[in-house]
Amino acid sequence: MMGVELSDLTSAVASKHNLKKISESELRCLAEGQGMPIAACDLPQVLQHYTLLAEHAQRVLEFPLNEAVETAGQFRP
Amino acid sequence: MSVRREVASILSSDSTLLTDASAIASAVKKGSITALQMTQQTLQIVADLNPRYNCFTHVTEQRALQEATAIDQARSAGKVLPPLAGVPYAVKNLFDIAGLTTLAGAKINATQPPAQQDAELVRTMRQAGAILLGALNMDEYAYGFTTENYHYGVTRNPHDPTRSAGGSSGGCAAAVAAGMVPLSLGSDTNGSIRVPSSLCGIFGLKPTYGKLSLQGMFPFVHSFDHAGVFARSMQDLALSYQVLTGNHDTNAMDVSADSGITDIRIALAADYFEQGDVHATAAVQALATALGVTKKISLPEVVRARSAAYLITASEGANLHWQRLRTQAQEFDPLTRPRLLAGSLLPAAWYVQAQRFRAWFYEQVMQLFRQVDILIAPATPCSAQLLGQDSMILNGVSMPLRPNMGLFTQPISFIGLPVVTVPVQQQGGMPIGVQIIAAPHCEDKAMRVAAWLEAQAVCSAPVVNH
Repeated sequence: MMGVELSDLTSAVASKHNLKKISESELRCLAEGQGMPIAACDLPQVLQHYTLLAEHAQRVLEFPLNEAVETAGQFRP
Repeated sequence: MSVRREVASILSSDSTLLTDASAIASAVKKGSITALQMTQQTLQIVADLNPRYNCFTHVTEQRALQEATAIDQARSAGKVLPPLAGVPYAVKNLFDIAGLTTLAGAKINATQPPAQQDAELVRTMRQAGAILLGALNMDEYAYGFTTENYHYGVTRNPHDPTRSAGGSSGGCAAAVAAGMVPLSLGSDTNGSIRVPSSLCGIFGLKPTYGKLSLQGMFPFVHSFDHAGVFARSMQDLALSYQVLTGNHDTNAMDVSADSGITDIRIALAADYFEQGDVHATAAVQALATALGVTKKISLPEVVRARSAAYLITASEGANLHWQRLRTQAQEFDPLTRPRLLAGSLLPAAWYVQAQRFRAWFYEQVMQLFRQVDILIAPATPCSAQLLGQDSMILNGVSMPLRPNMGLFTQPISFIGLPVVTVPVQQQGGMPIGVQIIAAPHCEDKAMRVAAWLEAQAVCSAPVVNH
């Protein structure tokens, strides 16, 4: 349902950080390694959302942030 | 004369009494209606309309009658009544209400014990004399823009019950739009006040991040969670906001039409924010024409900002539910479960980079606010779509509907900016909202612009004909 979303938005992304697309079995291993069981019936949709998040991550990771920029973890505008 | 007929007679003499918080408080203070009469009448309206729209998940009838009686007793004793005396309101069901279990839209939460005390904002409303009518429907754990709740049912849009009320505070917006209550309190993390305000055609305020207390509210994403208000008029929005900030806000909420806005520099948010459909574009243009605004400003890297908001939302949202996801995953709403599970697996580097990008983006946008005071942008890319609809077409491109209702709201709450959403009614069509965005802690400017637009009849929230 959400897998095509990024392609619908603007800005073509330069591929400096090509995050590898993972498979269902790799996702299952990742989840098991983190102690998060995922039912077989949920795997396809979880993978779809994880793939979408990876696309968002690629977009954020490739931005050339100055090393001096700190996180906004304690954000108080 | 029966109580119901007597109340009906009072109400027919003043058509604003059922929908206007300021008018209700004024009438109760003058004694032209008692708080108990007002509450009984409102409870009846809720009983009549809720089956149609499914806004309320719980009606706090006994509590409401007790609070109303206390207001009437205070008046009889000659006490000065507080600013919202006798005004009915309701809250999204993630606010703690003493004696009720805080559902946050989740079946999982239904097994939890009742809240010991009210959330801080509910206590504040009670001190201000407002009468709590109940708890309102929402997307599970606030993770959605449509209030199509698997456990507690869909909330329907009062303008067209076949369409979505928006979310996640869909019950809040629909209850106000339907005229069930004049005010409601909700929350906004990525757009959960602004999206339903837009789709239900009412006013909504998401203040600056951190401005209103979140104590006693079930969280979603700590970095972005805001509390806020829905109302049918700017006067009511300003009055309730002043109450919620404890009347100590130094930016006095003067939203009278004669306060003027000539000192406020306004621009339209360009490029990314021009992707809406013809209705969203027309609504923004209506405001621009009324305000005489032609200046456009582009926010830098907005697409990336939205991506970063996605990552932080997924990561923090999943972290909050980590244990529940491990042991009760199948009890989550099917619309929520796969997103939270995916979010639970994100590498820390993605999250940290998103938070660093957030700090950068905030600095860039603050520079823009040296040139202008207000940015105008659509609240949603389109008006309310049909319930159950999965996709929409925007600029000729088909895209998933549910996440993209937050297209224009996510990059703004990402950096905690205050926003008033104003409703634009469309001839023969569904209403749609526009965001009036200000710099942090400048709610007063956004509210003055919104009130001016209301005074010019560009924006309005008329009662829906049922």
